Amino acid sequence: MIVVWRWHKSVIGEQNYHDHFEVENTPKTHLFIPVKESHSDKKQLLEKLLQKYADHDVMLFFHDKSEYQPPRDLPDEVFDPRSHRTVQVFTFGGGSEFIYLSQNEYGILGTPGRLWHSQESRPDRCSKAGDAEDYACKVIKKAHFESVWNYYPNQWKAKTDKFYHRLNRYLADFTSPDGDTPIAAKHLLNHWRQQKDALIKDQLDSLLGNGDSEALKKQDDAGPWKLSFKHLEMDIINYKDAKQPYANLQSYLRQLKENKLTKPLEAFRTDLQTRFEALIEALPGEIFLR
Amino acid sequence: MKVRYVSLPATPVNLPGLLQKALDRAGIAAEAFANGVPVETEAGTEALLLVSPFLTERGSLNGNALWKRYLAQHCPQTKLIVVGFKKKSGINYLDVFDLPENLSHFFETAQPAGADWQPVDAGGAEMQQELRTFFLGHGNESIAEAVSDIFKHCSLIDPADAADYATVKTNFLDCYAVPQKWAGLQRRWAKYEWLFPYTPFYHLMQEIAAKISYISPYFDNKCTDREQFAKLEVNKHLFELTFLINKVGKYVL
Repeated sequence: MIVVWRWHKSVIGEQNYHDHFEVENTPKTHLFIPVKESHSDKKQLLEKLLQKYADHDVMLFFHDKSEYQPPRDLPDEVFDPRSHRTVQVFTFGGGSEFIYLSQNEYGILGTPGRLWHSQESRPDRCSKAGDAEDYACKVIKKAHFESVWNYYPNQWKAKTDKFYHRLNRYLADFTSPDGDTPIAAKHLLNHWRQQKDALIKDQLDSLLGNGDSEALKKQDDAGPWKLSFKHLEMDIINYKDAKQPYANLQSYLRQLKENKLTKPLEAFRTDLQTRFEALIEALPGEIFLR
Repeated sequence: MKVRYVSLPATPVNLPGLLQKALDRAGIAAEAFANGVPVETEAGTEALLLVSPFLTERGSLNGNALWKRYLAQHCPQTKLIVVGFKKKSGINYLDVFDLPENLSHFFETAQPAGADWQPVDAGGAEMQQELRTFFLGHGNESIAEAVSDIFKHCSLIDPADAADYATVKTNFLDCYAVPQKWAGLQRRWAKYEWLFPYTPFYHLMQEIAAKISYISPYFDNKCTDREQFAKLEVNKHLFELTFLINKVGKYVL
């Protein structure tokens, strides 16, 4: 696992740009490699690391505000599905994600740059993922490593499924004011806006890659069960089979949002269901509730 | 026909608007069944609608197979109807977006829970799988084994004998880390308890929760208070907990 972040000197050391941590009670092949975001030649360093560990499955995490963009900056062959190993790239940022100790007691990233979470900032979540403070002991705790390693590749299937089922509930409560004649999409959007749970529309925007509304951010900051789809746009690079279904769904939702759809409600539902189910099917993993 | 639909005490479930309208048109009244009492005590329920999957804060949860299994055992004549949103077909499945024209006929010809059929998978994480993880643990001991283990050591206690209590406490309760094991059990319960209101045996889970909560002060006190042990009737409750957990486990494992 490689994490590109603004690492504190207590984790990597002032002179270094990256380091190697073992994962406790696991084979030596399990490694945690923090890489400094400030390194001017991350591209070369990451390529070297990927070559050095050519037999390893790799999970590469980078901050969403980084100028380094793996989909663009890593060579295509890294993502070649014929390769005998898997390289997956995930984005994080904003502090409200699973990789953060503030959100997940088995997370990894703590108080900025560190592997622990200070008591001062969140007294209820004083947890640590590694013993970097004791510089001689560069070890990441197994439970923390595995929690993040297992969660990220599978997260989108469960999130998309959850959103899809919520959308279905709203569709099942909606009847067109014009009966079964073709409806303008705006009727449906207005219906969603008027619902008690107005976040459904914000989630649509998030899924479209239009960023997260303040309400959505607030909701995601408050609890562990995230609604944002902000990082799916980047993470989709990991899922070759899901790229097209994702693009199809986005395109359809965009037409909906731009009020370009006028069709019988039943046809609209079917279209939406087909597209959502194709994406959920193509995303890897199982639907889980952790 | 007496039709009910599964709802939750804390977060009531409503029937989808399209289905409610169709039921109204067919002259079928459907009342909510607030999960938390045994469904078998709801006399005369001919059909039980289960809107599937359950929507939880964490995601969608598929409890169809578990509900079918429970009903088959306790009220086999009740017809479990899965109300779903996916374009699927199958026994006792109502697709909200493609409802049958004659709902009365649908209910009349639906299969009872005790018959041999498999409910449609309407999506969501499989509840039975999530519960299995709770019962069996992550490669550790099962929840039943954990309670049995605690009971095994506590059953050595004679609350009337102060001298013997001290010996048992030192040699068994402390030596085998019983208070810590109880704390582990509580953590495990707390991690999964969000799931229990969606199960058909929620009333049993509430009973278990009440017993855990009732005797916890003794273990929180590091098993130091012999009188508290006697007053709370810890062994009686541990025995009942073992029984209840095994009973619930049979629906899941």
